[in-house]
Amino acid sequence: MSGRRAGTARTAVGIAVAIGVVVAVGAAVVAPWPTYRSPAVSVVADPVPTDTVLACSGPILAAGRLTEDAAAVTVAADAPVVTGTAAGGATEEFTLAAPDVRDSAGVPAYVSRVQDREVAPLAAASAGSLVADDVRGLAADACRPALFDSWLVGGAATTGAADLVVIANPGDVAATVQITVYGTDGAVQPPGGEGLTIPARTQRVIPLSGLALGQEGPVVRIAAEGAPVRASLQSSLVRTLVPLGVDQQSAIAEASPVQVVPDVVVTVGPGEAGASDATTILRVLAPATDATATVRVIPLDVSDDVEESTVPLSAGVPVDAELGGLPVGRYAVVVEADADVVASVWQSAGSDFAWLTSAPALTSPAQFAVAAGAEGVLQVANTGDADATIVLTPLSGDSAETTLAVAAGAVARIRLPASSTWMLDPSGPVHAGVTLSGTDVLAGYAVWPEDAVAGAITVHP
Amino acid sequence: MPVRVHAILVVRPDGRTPATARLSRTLEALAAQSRAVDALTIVLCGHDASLSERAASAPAEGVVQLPGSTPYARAVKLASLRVEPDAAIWLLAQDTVPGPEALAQLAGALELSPTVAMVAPKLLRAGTTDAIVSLGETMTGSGRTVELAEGELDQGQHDDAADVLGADVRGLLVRGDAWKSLEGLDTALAGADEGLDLGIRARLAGGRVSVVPAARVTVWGDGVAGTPDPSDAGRIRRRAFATRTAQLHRRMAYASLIALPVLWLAILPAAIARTAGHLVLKRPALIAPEFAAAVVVAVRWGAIFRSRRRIARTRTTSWRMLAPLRTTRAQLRRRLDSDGGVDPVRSELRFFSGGGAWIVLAALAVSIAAFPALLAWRSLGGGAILPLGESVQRLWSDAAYGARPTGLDAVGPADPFAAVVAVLGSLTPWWPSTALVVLWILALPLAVLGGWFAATRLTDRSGLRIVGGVVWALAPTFLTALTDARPAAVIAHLLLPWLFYTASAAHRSWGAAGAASLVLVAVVACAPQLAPALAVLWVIAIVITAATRHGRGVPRLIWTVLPTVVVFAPLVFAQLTARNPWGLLGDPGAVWSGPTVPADAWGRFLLTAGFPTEDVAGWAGLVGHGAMWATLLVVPLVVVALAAPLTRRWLSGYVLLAVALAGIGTAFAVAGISVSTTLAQSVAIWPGPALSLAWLGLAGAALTTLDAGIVRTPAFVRPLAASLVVIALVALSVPALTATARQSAQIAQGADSTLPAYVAAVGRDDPRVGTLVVTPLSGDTVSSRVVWGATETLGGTSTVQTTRTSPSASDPLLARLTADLIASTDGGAVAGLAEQGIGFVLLADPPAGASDAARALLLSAGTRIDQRDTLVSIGATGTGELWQLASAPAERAGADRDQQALTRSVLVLQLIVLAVALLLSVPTPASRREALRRSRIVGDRGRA
Repeated sequence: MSGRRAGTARTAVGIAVAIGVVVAVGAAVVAPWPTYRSPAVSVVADPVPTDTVLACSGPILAAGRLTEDAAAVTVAADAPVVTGTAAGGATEEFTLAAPDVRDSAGVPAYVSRVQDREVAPLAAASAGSLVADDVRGLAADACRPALFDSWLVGGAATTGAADLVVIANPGDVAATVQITVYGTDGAVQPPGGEGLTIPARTQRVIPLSGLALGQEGPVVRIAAEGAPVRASLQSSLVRTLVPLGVDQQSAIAEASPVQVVPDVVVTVGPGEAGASDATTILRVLAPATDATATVRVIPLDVSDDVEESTVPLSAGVPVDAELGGLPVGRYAVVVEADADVVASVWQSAGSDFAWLTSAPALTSPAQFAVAAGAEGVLQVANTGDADATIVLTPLSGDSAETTLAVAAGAVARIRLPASSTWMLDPSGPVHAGVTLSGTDVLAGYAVWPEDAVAGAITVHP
Repeated sequence: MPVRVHAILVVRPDGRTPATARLSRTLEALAAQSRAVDALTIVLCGHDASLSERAASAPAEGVVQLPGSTPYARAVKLASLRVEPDAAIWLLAQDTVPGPEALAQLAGALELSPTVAMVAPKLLRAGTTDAIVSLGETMTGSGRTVELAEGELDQGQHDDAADVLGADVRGLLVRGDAWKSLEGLDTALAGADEGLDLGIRARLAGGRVSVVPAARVTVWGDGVAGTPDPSDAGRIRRRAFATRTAQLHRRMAYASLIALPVLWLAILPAAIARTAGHLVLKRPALIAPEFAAAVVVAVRWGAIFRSRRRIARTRTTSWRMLAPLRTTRAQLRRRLDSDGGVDPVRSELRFFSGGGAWIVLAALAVSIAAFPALLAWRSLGGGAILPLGESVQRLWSDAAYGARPTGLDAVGPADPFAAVVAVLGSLTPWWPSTALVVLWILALPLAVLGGWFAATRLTDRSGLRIVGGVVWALAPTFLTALTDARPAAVIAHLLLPWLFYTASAAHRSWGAAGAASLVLVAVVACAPQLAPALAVLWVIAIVITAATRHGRGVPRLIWTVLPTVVVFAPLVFAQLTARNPWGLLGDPGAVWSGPTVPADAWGRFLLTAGFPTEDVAGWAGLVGHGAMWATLLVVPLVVVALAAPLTRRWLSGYVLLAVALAGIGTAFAVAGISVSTTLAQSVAIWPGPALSLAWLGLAGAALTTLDAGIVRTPAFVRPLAASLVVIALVALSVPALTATARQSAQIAQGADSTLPAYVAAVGRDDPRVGTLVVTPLSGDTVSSRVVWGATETLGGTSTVQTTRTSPSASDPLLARLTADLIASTDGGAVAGLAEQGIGFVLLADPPAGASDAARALLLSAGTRIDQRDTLVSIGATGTGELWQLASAPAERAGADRDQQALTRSVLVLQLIVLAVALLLSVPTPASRREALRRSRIVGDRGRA
């Protein structure tokens, strides 16, 4: 009997436990449970800046001087380089081989090495001039960092023009470039411009006529792979055996809806002796889409009117627009389009001319050098809505620090000593260029911003 | 010529035995001798008032008081100084009671034969009249003492014995001149073999040793003289220590001088070998005395040389003369080979006749039908599967403490899971990854086998055992782990029934405890999340054992966790040092953010039903939203399981339900815990293994119910319930088992390497080649890791790394090198990589669903890397773009000297513990005989 009673008790307890288990689990299902989530480990690392490598355009070249090899390119005149770096910088000069140029001593390039994960600012520019039967005038250009994408807006491939596309690879590995020529037929891949290899630390010279034969106003795009390249264009013009000038121009880095050429200098008035029919020509290209560009010419002298015109653009076809007879003076040309465009201005100065490329906006300190050869002027355009002040600090040398005020929508200039290097610190976005001008000589080049420092990278190890 | 006999009676109070009573008995026996002793010296070792009083009242010529710690040999030696030169010495103690004729017989034998140096009586166990304790001793060739008649019943069978090599020291009568020249007992013998040693020395000195069976001395075996009877644990240890010390010491004393150094060097190895023997024979208690004896003998140079000098001084005959008196191995075996018959309680296993084998075969057929493609595959991939190391050597080096196969300069403990992987991979040494394919094909049959064996602990019915096997193999969590390719969970599920099978018997058998300890290591290695639940169950088991078996078996239960503790100790230490205790719960192996349940009520409901993923074991893919009704198919099992407390075997029922609750509780808890990260993504612990534990409890409780039955239920209920449970589970398993056919399973054919084939080829030749793998995750975020060798491996992953919450010492360096590499063209990054021994850079494609910014970063990083002449592009591969360093990188920084020494000691300790567990688990004839006396079923008093 006691067994049966024990059995009954066991059954009762068992049923109670079973019910208890079900209830407990059910309660645990609906009850909130704590959660724990361990964070992913991350380390934020500031990448080391890249060495600043500036490759110069090199000496002024001449084609067709040698009777035994009409296609050979030779050195016509040296272009001395002005360099400057901040105190403590470790600047080295090295030479790029120039196998396409006969008897060339090479092209100078400069590198400011990273020291303690910082790189010292470096500026360099070269200028050369000569007077010869086939080439005359002054050519100046800044030494530039290499780019993966370069737009050469300038030159001609017509009779009388002996223009040369110069592509230098200052890097350590070979680059492969694709050359696209924009002409009257739109974008064309010329046979000689496909998969062109530029070995490391080498400069190649390609006649523009071989790429864009017959084009009066071409734009050349150079896309690099493997390593960035420094592309430039040397243009020279001979008309009926009279050399009309020479120029070296840098590439434009980026197509954008706004292009500003801040450093147009008109030294010869319209109708004066020696002036050609058209003294100021704007070349503009909308590479991808049809667009309309509004062109404004802002004079340095605020009393003069701002001229404004519209230029319709069809995709891939460069347009040369004459900017009328501008009186002697200094101007900035602003192109605003409803699509990405590239633009530069051809300016004649009697028996010399210059291609003045658009200058990118400067929002942070930038450095530049003033090459020797003619009176050097820094010309600054402020296309913004706020007045800006620019502080100029000499990078090296004994010049004094100066400031320059640029009103909103205006242009300002300051004369700078030859062979000086400067740090330019703007209070707001401005565009700047350096001009070298004198009697029958004209050259200019834009001031580029410092390479943007790559932002911090979050690494999950 | 009559001899004078001087008796030396050593008295030592022992805490437990009534020494005064014993002394009185002995003194009375002495007084009753037919031939009285001529003199009696009582040696009192230790102070005891009543003993002193009793001794003082005895007719002794003197009472010598000595400290309590004085051993017998020394006490006798000191007392023998009082003996007149020509008197024979009779060695007695308070626990030796000579029969009335003893002295007359002994003295008579001494008087009869002048060549006899000493005579020994027949020692009988006190309390009995006819159990022989000792009647002469001899030794084997290796010096081991052999009692000639110990334990035999005295039926006069040895009464014609005379010449022996030696004899027990108790009751020995030694001629005076022999005693003097031999310098008495050797005090270095620690209480054993003193008589044997004296006999051997007497024989070497030209004398003879005789036993006089007619002289009877009863002994209590208190250990005052000679070794104590092995009546409790302390005495067993003391006896083992004394015996082993004496044997080793005698070996050193008797050996020739040339052999001495060899013998000395062999002391420690011999101790280790004998330790293994003790383990195999399930006598772990003797290990400590073994080593104590070895150490004592090895350092007692003085005693050894004293003993040797003593022999050299008195020896007149050669050792060869003793040979006939020694025993041989064959004689020994004949004596020991006796097996008392036992009635086996345990029934036959009936694996074949009971249908177990057939259901396993059927499961194999189902497995092949479910995964037909696997038969053609060389390695398995998908899910949380990574390739295994490409060689057995790599497998085991991955499993050892040291330089980890991932991480810049990570040195640390391996996950114990790596050892499981190594064992598995070593089964197919020609290509270890194949082991996983084999495992997957055999998973279902192995699960049935494990479930069947686990069921033998719960039921004797063949049908129910088959139910157990099927229920275990069709667990939804197991099928999900198979289709989702989660190797650690699969292995854990396959091992859990064996843990149950062994651990449930661990309290009563060292063999089971040893096996359980090994299986526990593997289970916890595969599923660290189970450790808390198993610890709780372990404590419950200890409490139940202590309560129901008066503590017997508790040491065995304690042992079961020891190997796990030792194996996990380095990992635990590393995680605690990193202040990351949560990391210990992290799933081992590849971190994979695969399907799981959400940490909310819906997720917990699925977990309760036994489903570790939201697709309800494949039903969601088959029927969509109606899948939740599939959970009803588990109800029969749960209902039957909940009835277990109502049965006669309610204790088993409660315990098994507690197991189920522990599993479900663990699953609830870990579903909300995310400790591992991969590609900056936190991954929750997969609750599958916890559900396996819960399933174990449920299935076990259900089997208990079905086996024991509930009173007053009709007979047809049991088979009906069993079939209902099985049919429901078979229906439940259909989507999972057809998943590969419907191509909804995660398992796929595996690649040989997670790295590009080029690196894999280089890495196979040189496992030290390092690859930096950078994966862009967003515009300014990358994942960066270093892989050493041909591939990331399943065993090479380390939870210390995958769960770390703060950057390791080398992480800032890795981050800087990565940032410099992808966001700059500076040459320092490559030089830094070379310095660290990294030879390749892989810019991996962003994970699926990454932003466009991540793709942009991929492009810009590729461009920047391309600009370096110190990196040679190998080209685009299936996993990303690959570069090789132009110059040979430096050697990888390995573990430093301290770490290597630590590695070795950690490894040795772990191997020792595992070897001990292994030896314990090896069955011996004795342990098999022992097991036969017990029911296979645990927790059933009716049958046990």
